[in-house]
Amino acid sequence: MAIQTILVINKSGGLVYQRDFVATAPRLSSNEYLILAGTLQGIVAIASQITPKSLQIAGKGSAKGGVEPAGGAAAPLVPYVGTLGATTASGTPMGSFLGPDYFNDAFASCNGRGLKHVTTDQNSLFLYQTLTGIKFVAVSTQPTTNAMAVAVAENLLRKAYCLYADYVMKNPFYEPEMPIKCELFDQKLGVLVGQL
Amino acid sequence: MSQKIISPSTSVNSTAHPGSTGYDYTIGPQQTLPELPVSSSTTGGGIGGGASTAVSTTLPLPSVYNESLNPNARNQHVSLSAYAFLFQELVSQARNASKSVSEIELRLHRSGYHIGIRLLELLNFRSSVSAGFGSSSSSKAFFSKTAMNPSGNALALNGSLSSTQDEPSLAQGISHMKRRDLKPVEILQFIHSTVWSYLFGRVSDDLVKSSERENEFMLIDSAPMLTQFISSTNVQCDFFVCGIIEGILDSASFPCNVTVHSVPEPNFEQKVVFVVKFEPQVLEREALRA
Amino acid sequence: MALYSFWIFDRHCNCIFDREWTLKTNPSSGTTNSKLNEDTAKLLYGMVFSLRSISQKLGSKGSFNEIRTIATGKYRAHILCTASGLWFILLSDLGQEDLSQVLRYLYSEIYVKTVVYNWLSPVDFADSPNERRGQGFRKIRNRQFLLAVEKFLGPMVN
Repeated sequence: MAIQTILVINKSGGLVYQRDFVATAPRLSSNEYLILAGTLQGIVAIASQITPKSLQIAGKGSAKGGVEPAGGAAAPLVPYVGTLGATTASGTPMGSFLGPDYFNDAFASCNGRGLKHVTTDQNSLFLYQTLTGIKFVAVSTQPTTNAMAVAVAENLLRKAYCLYADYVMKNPFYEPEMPIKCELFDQKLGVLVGQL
Repeated sequence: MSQKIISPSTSVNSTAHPGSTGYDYTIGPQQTLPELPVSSSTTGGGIGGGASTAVSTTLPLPSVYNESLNPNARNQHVSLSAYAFLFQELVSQARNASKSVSEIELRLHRSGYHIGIRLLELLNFRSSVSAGFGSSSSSKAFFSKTAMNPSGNALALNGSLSSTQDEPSLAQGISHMKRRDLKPVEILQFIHSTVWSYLFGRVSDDLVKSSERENEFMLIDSAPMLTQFISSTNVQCDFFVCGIIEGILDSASFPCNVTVHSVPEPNFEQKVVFVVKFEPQVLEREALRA
Repeated sequence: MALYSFWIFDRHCNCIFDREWTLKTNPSSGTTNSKLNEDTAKLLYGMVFSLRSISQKLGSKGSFNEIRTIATGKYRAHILCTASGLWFILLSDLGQEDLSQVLRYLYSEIYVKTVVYNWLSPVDFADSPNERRGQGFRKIRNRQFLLAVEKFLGPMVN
C-alpha cells in the first residue's frame, strides 16, 4: 500500500496543501481539489450527525456511570506504530522533538465522531483531524479496512501534523490559513511518506 | 511553601492572620512576595519607626539576577519551540517594517548586534566563575550559613547585584577574571565554543581561516538551530546570528564585517557559513603585537 | 457484532426503506420506515453522494470507483450501489470490516425476490415527477420483505 496523495485542509475548509506521491495519481485541476476539500470538510460534520441512535443511547448510559458497552462512547487510543518516521539515531533531536521519533506512545484521537476512513474499489482515504480543526487527508493506492492499516495511516498523518507544527507554523514567511509553500515541509513529508 | 488564601483588601481582621498577603489599608502597601526571609527587618525598622516595619525593610531581591549570571545555575534550557516562535515574530516584524530583502536582513543583523554586545559581557563574566560554584544546593547552604555570610551581607547592601542571604554571591566564586582575548583567533575560538554552546547547546561545526584572504575567517554550522524551520531562499534569516557575532567582535575591539552564505550539502541542506572579514586595522595591530 | 441500521435509497434519491435498531440486546427494538428518520436519511444520502463524487475523481480515469465503506470514530457504514441506482447501506460497529457479502445477499436474495419478483409491489417508488429528487414518501411496506429482512438481519444485531 502506498500513499497516493496527501491533502491538508485548514479549519475553514480551504485546501492549503496538496501533493501527489505516485506518478499514477489522477490529475485533478486545482479547482477540483478545492471542491474536494470543501466537500470533505462538510462530510466530516455530517458523519458525526448520523451517529446511530443505539450508540447515542449507549453513550448517555455510560455517562451516567453505567456499564460501558463494547464499542461505546469512550474512543479507544490509537496504538503507536513504531519505526515509522524515525530518521535519526536515538537521542538526537528531530525538529523540536527531542526523541528519535516524533512521539512514541498511543494517543487519543481528537476526531471522536467525525469521518475517519473511507474505502472505495480502488483507494482508501484516511482523515486525521486535529484539536484545532485542521484536517490531514491521505489517499492510498489500495482499498483496505484493516485496523492495522488504519492505525498506520493515523500515525502517519499525526506525524505529518508534527511536521506541520514545526516547518509550517514556525516559518515566519507562512501566512496562517494560506496555501503552504514551504520547501522544508515538502522535503520532510517526502521522507516520512518514503519510509512507508 | 504553604498555600495561603489572599484576603480581599477590605478584609477587617487581616491582622488576625499575620501571614496574610492581601492589601491592608491600616498598614498600607506590603511586600506581597510570600515567605521571603526578612532577615534585615530589625535593622530597617529603626529608620522608619515602629509602624512601618513592613515598608522600610531592605527587601532581599529574588535571586533571578544571580541565576542568569551564574554559569552553573539549573534550568538554563529554553524550549526550542518558544525560541522558534520568538524568532518568528522577530522576522515578521523586520519583514513588515522593510521594503526590500536586504533591509529585512539589515534589521535582523541590527537586532543580533545588540545581543552580541551584551553577550560578550555576560559570557566573559560567566567564564570567570570557577566551575562547580553554586551548582549544588547543599554546598550553597553550607557557604551561606557559615563562612561566606559576612561578605554576603556586605554585598547585599551594595545594590543591584545583591544576593539573598541564603545564597553566596557570585563574586565569591571568582578567583581571577578571565583574561581578555587579544588575538583574532582567540576571540573566534571563544565564539566557536563558548558562545555557540550558550546559544545553541553545542559548539559550531568548524572554524577555518580563508586561504585566499588574510583577514577572512569562516565559522561553519551545518544545521543552524535558529533557522531550521524556515524554508525561504530569498531572505537569509541567519543574518541575526551574523549580527550577534559582529556585535561580540566589535565590542571586543575587532571591528569586522560578518556575512552569511548558504552552502547546501547532500546531508546538510541547511548548512551555512559565516564569513568574518576583519578590518585592516585589526591585522595591522596584530602585526605590531607580534 | 452489532448492527445499528439498514437503509435503501432508490435512483430518485428517495429513502424507500429504513430500519433502525435502538437496543443491541433486542433485535425487535427500534423503528421501521419511521418518519423521524427522514432527516437522518437525507444526511446519510448526502454524505454518500458527496463521497461517491470524490471517489469518482480520485479513481483512475475510465473505471468505476464505487465507495464501499465509510468509518467514523463511532460506527462504520457499508455501502452497495447497484447498477439500477439502488443504494443499500448498513451501519455497523467498527469491528465489522467488510459486510459487502451481507449487502449482496440482501439485494439478490431478499430485495429481488420479495420486491422485484412481486407483481403487487411497485419497483419504482416514485409515482409522479414531484416524488422524485428526494421528495418521495413511499416506502417498502411489503410484509414478505419486512419479515425476510428481520429474519436475516435480526441475529446480527447484537
